[in-house]
Amino acid sequence: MAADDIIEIRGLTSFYGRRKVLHDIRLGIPRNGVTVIMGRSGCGKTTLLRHLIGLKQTSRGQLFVDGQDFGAFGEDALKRYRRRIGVLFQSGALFNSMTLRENISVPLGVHTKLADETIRIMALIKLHLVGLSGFDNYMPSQLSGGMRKRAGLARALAMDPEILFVDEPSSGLDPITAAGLDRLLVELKETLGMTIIVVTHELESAFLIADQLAVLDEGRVLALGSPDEIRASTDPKVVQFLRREADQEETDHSSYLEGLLRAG
Amino acid sequence: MKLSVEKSGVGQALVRIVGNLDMDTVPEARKQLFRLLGARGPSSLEVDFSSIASMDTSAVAMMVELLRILSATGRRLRLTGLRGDQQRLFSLARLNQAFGINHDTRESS
Repeated sequence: MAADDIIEIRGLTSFYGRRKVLHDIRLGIPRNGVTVIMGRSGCGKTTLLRHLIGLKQTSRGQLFVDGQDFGAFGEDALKRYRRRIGVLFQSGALFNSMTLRENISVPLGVHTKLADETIRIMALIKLHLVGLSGFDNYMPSQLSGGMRKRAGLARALAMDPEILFVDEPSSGLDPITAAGLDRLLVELKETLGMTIIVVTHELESAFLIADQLAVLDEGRVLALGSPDEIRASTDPKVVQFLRREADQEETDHSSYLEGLLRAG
Repeated sequence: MKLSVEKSGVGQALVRIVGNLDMDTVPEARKQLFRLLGARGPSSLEVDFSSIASMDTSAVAMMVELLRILSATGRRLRLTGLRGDQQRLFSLARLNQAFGINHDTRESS
């Protein structure tokens, strides 16, 4: 583990049922930097994120947060960790029965003793940050997908998290809004010293915001390094991913036909 | 967090805050500041940030509350002694102009 790593992943192997989705992942997340985990759909990047935010139990391997074994966290330590992190899920994950302002106020009301008016202003600040000023009384159902995503980010930022996890920030966003979101993530890192972990398959965004890039393939870390190091990689799979080249046709036609023709 | 009040002139008060001004300490700081602004409060309030070790957006929100209360009654709020990181927090919230803080967020720390 490097001295300035806030999180260290050591030998993480993960399963869904009997299917292995992560294979012996070893990765350090540097403090106050943006780490982008990228790879093709189904490569295990969202599963890795679920481990890091404590939504999936680690059965093999270890995670360390500030050098402490995450698997050994008791209830209090987990609570403290949850207060330190913010998560933007792909869907935005807002409460549909609440206005945007109420959505952002929930964690502040639960975790702090701040006055209602202070919380109200904080919520408005967070909405302004993500470009949603004036939408505080809107319900999530009244917003476009991209706006819901930004509102989800505002909620993830409610507690001024030390570590921000972002799952596919650009999905569903137009290029201009996506670029604004990228800029905001970098600004949050620079202004608040936030550690940001982004999962994405958007190459342009990844290279723009990352201090460190991890390329995952079939549950393994294929390449790890700075954007320049990844660009210079000669690994054929990294090159294929960066050039957006389609796979070679590998379908076994005879077994495919056999399967189609087999009686149900 | 410790908050002390000095009179710096007729109708003027200077508040010094020492320690962290964050979600854990803002409720207490707010209580003390609101008490100060109550009946016969100062016509001008200066908040000295130079001894604040760390702060978060709850501190910014509380300053917005103070600004609103003071400006609604024709009184003044002045923030002084802000370090670069504190200025950047106001800039991030796009509130630097409201508080007369001139800071370019593109500056590095």
